[in-house]
Amino acid sequence: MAKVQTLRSAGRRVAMTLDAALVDRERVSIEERLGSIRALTKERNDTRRRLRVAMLAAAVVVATVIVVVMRRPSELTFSIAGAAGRAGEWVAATSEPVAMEFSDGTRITLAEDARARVIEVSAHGARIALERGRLTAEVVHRAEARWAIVAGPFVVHVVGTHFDADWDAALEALTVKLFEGRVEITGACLSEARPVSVGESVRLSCRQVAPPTEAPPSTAPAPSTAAVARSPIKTPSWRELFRRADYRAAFEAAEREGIDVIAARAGAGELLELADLARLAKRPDVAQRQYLAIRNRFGREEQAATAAFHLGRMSFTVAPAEAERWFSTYLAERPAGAFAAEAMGRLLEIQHRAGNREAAKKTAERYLTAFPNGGHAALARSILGS
Amino acid sequence: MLFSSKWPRADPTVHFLFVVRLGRSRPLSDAMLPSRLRLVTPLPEAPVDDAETLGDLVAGLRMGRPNAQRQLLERFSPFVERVLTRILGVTSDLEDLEQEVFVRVFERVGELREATALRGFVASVAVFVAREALRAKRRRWWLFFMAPEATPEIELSGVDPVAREAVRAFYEVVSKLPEDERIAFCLRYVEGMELTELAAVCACSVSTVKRRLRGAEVRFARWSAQRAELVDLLEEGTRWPRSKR
Repeated sequence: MAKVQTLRSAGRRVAMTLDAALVDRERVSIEERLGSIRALTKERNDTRRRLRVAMLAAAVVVATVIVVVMRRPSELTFSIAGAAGRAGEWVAATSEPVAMEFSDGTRITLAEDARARVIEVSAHGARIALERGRLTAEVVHRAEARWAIVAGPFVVHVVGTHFDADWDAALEALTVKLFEGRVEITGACLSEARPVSVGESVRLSCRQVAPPTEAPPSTAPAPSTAAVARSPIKTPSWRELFRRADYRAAFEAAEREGIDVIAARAGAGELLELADLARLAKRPDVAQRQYLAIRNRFGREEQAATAAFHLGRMSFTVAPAEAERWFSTYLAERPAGAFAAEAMGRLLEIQHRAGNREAAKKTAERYLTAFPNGGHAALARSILGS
Repeated sequence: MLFSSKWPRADPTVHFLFVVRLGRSRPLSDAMLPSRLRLVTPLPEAPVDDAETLGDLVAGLRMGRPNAQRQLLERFSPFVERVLTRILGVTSDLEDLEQEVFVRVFERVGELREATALRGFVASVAVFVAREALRAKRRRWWLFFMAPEATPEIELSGVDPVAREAVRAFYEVVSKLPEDERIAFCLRYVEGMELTELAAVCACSVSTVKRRLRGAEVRFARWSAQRAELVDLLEEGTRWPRSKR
């Protein structure tokens, strides 16, 4: 093809011109060029090596993170009578025991009329508040297990065991009977942890020295006497005394300091403690005044909602209409709060007692939806059934 | 003297034939030669290489022996220079590109299966480096507006001005071609590679090479017709069909 021949001719002329231009081109010697090539090769190899090390380190970090994350045990779950349980929810046994079954095999059974709440759940165990009555704990032993039963000022620390814990809210006394394993009990009024051994029965109260109780017949060791040890604290503050559950002494200390003085300077947390102290020290007038102060000064805080709940409890028997208003306020402000089940249950009681059928039915439906296994579930069902 | 003393190696065979043929005794230059004669043979550095010699060389390269590396540079530097300049023209970064070719040849010589394929291997690495340089230049196109001196110009000192302008125009036109078409076009028509060898160094099939060449030829014909310098270059001998206006 003529075209191809033309291109070849032109190409050759281009080649000749290029070669002519290259004749006088300055070139470095072979040795110099070789040195430059080796230096560049070494530099690149070093760079690649550093990059490989960095990538390897990054891969190790990523792999470690993945292993740690994957190996991190997931949180335990639990169920109550077959339904999934939720932390924060109150569980009440009425005429029959109620069992909480945990995913690691641990079983916590509330005896009749007992009431408890799962405060928190972790991969290693759970923290359970026993408000009243007796529970039986059958905790699966694991090396890393961490279980705690909170009863008043006491905490029963459990690793793997079978025991009964009974909290008398009126006398503020805890009784622990250990059938298997080992537990330790700590408390605000205990100077050190109190271990409990198999077969031992312990009764503790921060109010007085409790007499020993009989041991289970199948156990060999003799029952021990539980003594309340008071830490020798010089001039404890009203708050320290309050946390030790010495409400009478705490209130006296607060009065010496000046209730109004404390209230004027206190933040939401301290003011709530002062109000709770007054309530537990059987001074409802002071308690109501401080709860209202919390509502006025810290309206959006958690403590203000809690104050609304306690104002409802304090009014429950003497002023049901006012109690209804406070419980409704609490539920409006904290529909999923720690006291929501109790507030809704008491609201249901008030409406039921007042004969307010429509409101009671609505509340019953809400209650069963939110707390199908709650302490007022039976009442709610009976209201809806009738 | 036919070849510059600056060349690492001279080819006595061509020199002898040339002197006998023309009976000239004075030094010759390219300008004196008719176009049908070429000073540079396709493979001046390795007209005949037996397998044993190449085998020793490749074995030494694999072991990283300095002597083998030196020998490789001596034998193939002119070839690499030529392959690069055929594709890119004579640019200011030619030295760096040559160095890059040999760095990669040393690194990758372990991939060479047969020692007799060494030349083709070196050529393919040179083509790869040239392609990378073209792509890098294409990514730096905005530098032309910002700092024209930063771009490697075609350096053609010491040649006839008309020829210099023609070659400059040639490379300006081929710079518009896609990289693969440019490489095929330049190696085919400037270097004179055969299709099979061209396909080997471009790591593609002969049919692909033909397709690239057809595309390049059409485009080159259209664009070169608008350059006066190239019209003279192309119309000597066989008239190049001008594009209809």
